[in-house]
Amino acid sequence: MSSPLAGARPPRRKRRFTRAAYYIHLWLGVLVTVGLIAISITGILLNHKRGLGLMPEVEHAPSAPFAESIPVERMAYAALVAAPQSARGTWKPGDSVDISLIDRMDLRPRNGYVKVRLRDKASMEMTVDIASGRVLHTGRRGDVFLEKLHSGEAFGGVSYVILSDIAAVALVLTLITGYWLWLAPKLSGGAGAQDDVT
Amino acid sequence: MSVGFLALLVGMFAIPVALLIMGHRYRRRHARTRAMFRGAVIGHCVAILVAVTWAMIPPEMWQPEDTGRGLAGYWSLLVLPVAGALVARFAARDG
Repeated sequence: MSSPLAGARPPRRKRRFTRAAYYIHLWLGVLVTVGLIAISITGILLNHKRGLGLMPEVEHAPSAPFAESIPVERMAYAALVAAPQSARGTWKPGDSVDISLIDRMDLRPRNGYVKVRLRDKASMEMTVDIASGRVLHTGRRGDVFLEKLHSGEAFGGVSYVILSDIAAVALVLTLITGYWLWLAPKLSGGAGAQDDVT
Repeated sequence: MSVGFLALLVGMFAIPVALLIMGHRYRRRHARTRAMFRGAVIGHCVAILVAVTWAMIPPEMWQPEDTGRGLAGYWSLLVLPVAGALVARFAARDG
């Protein structure tokens, strides 16, 4: 990218602003390259998580009215029984439900199932029929880790989302300054308007 | 904050700043400094590919004794540009 100071001579203040925009664009662009590449790749993968098989898709219709659903505790128990041994640790069938193993239960009344996600490394998820307690699907959620990587949480918790915030703010500033660097010579008129500086 | 994460932050932010400073008025720099800059840029580009690729490995595939992931994911962004600069420096002197 060549210097934006070539071409016509716009007012000094505008030239200063354009010069600042040029360096902000240049420096921020280089500074957040790594973060933005990681965020972009994980974003693309997350957009296509169903197609890539990262998120199990279970086709199911309610087998009974919602009012006849089994208790939540029984849904969780059925899920833990179906979970692989590596995901449920020392818990075994017959024990009471250990809620520390469960990350979340995502209930879908219109589909008639609940998705029970465990807190293991693979983020195992069991899809359980809310009327019968039958396990419809068992599989890992590959998108959970990608989401954490995308947000920055993978580095140690919610506070680390500041990393993706920095990258996002830098991207916005880079876009604005890039737009200005394209627009500035056109606004200045004269010979500089025909000579794109970037 | 672990040492590995600190290395990642340095590789992610401090190394690009150093490259920008080295790249400023590039043509006026000494030939050896220019060679180091080129080596560091190549090292950093390789490190970006390595770090991003290794970062995508899902957690269930991690092993307790897995040092490769830590090295590639956390340290490569710091180590490879420095290594690239050093290699280029000595190559420039020999050449």
